[in-house]
Amino acid sequence: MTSGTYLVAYSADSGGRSALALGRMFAAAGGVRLVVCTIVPTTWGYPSLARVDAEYATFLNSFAQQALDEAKAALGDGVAAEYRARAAGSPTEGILELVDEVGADMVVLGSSREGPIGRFAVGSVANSLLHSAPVPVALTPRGYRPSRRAQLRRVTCGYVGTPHSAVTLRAAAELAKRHNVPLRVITAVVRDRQMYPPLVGWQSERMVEEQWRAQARAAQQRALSELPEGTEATAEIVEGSSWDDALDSTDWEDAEVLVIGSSRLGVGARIFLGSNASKIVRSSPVPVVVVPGAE
Amino acid sequence: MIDNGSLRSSLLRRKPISAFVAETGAATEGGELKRTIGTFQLTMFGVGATIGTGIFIVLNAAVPEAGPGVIASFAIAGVTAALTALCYAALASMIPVSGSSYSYTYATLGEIVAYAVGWCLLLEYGVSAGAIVVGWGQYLNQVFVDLFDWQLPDAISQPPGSGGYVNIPAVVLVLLCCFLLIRGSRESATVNTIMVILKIGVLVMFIVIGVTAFNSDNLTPFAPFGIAGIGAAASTIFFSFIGIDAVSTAGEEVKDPRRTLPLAIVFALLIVTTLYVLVAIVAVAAQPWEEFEGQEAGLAEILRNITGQTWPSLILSLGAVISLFSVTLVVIYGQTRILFAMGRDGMLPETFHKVDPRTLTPVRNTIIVGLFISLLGALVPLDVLADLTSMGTLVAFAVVSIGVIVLRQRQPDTPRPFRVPFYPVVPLVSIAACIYLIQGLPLNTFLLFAGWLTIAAITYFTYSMKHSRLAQAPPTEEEARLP
Repeated sequence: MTSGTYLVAYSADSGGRSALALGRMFAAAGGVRLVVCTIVPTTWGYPSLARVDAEYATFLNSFAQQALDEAKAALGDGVAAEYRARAAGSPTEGILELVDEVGADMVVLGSSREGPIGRFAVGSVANSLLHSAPVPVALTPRGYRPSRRAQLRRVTCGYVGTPHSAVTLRAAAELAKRHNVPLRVITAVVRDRQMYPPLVGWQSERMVEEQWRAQARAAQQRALSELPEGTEATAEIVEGSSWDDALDSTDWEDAEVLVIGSSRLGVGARIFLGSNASKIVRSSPVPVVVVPGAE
Repeated sequence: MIDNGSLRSSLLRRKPISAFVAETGAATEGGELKRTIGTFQLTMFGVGATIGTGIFIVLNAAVPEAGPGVIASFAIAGVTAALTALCYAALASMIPVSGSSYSYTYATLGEIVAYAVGWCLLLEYGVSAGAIVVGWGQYLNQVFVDLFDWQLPDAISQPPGSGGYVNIPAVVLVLLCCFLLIRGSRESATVNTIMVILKIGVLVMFIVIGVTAFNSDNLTPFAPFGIAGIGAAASTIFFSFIGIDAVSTAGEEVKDPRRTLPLAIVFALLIVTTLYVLVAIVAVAAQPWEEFEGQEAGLAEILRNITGQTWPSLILSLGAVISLFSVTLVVIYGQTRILFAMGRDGMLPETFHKVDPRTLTPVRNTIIVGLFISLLGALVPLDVLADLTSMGTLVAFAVVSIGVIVLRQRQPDTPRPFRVPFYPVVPLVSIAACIYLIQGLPLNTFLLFAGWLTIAAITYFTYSMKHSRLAQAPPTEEEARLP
């Protein structure tokens, strides 16, 4: 089995515990090494007679240590993991440094508290990380708590048939292979687009939709046939009057992730969410893995 | 060589309704749409789709043709629009598909007629969009004049032949609308309602302020060019009634269509025609009819002249700029969807019905439409565009009326959710009215239209006839029958 290193960005709150739960799900079947990290602010190291700064640094260190102890207790002994505290100018900076150091294949991130339970909300760390991470970022929905024994069961890939989308599919196939789970390719037909007044008929958007459905099916079949030999894969069209509806219209495994690509606007192999991608991230009932672009 | 019999059958092959239905995916969803639209909402759609396409710009082309008699021209055009809209509703209720008269014709009169109608619709939508953006540019300039006492130089705001090189504001508006459409932006029902209120609001303001300058001397002579002049002006004015056919296309979602459709059409046209006639009366009574020729942003100009102040003109111009923007968006949208339908049938190259995976809109189609309309708006004078639009629309409307009669003859017993009242009088009078208006159009419009249809014929016989989906899988007579 191919192995990988996943960096779980832990903070001592609900979002951190969700990230940890997703990390455990990835690691449960073995083969994946977890590195759990927590980032504290760097102190200025400015010499002061009262040594307040040193005092603060000590506090931060013990705080970080405490957080990691909590993480260790939550993860349990069954999961092999390494624990790292890191002082950095910003959480994103610290995470990126560690990605480099440990050679991480993925970053696992918790949600900010701004969104509804069961969905991911992009906070400041997620936002800056999505703009700068060179590796896939897994976004854990708020309050994500699969059972402790849960193992990843399936990888679903959001696919639209562009060359860019093919890169995403390759990454998803790789992920499925690493975890030895089946791959599912989905394409969304979202109909939230009635024009008023509907000059040429209420049906006119349906016509465009139907065309897209046909195009999507053909693209899916092509994509499946181009997957590496031996990949267990299925294809599906999800539909709804919004992204929420569309993503709800299909069955999800208890332990499943949705892989999507970042926008083409990203520079180099960096991640940047397009408007569809950010809607998917906000609406997905399962964790979303955002993979960076190809270039 | 194809023999005559098979040529005839390919020219007249009809597309089965079941094929239309399959293409909208209705079958995959199961179940009918909920009928939710009542008379009031539908009337609002009709008013929203109709007002704004012409009234802001058409007087300056029509009054020089008819003098004060233009008031009667509006009434004639309105009645014609009502008759044809009833025929539209009859076909739309039997053939609930998108693509407007192109699709109705394809299902009833056969491929070659449908193809010609499709090209007429290019005039109704594409060319009218060109006319609207030119008018928009005039009102934008009026806003500049009222605010800064400055306007864009003619060189970049007039087409060649009218003292300029290229009409930049028109191009900018088209590109902006195309950009929005490519992104998948849509005008919501709420925005539509706001636009309706805005348009009616500024027109009422024009009437209320304009009537203070009412001078009955301006109304005589009433018809300096006689009946012929009134008829010719009605042909030009018909341009300002296009969009009313949008009411009929909502058939499938309308509650009790048998009652709602005709009521909404009649109410919408009553509101629209009343407003137009009042605007026309006030306008021709406010200044001698000879002054209309060559005026730009006509309604605003009149307000400015009679009040001697800038604010009424500014408000009207701003209202026009905003609402014509929304009209342009909707009309360009309509054009792209008609070409989409034609592309899907194999009448046009595949590029017209490719959906972009990222935006889920027909991007290349929209870009081509945008370039076409930009060119028209940039280079062709407004009156030519308006007359061409009337020509295309009237021909399409006449064909729809013929379709109603053909269907009654061919399939008299098929159930019809909405029947044309006073059959066969209404469709016959409708055809006659369309022909009357068509013959009133100027000669150069006929020449342009003939050229247009020639191009259409060439593309049909060299491309579309062979690539038609129906050429690959001809329907049986039974399939081509309407359900």
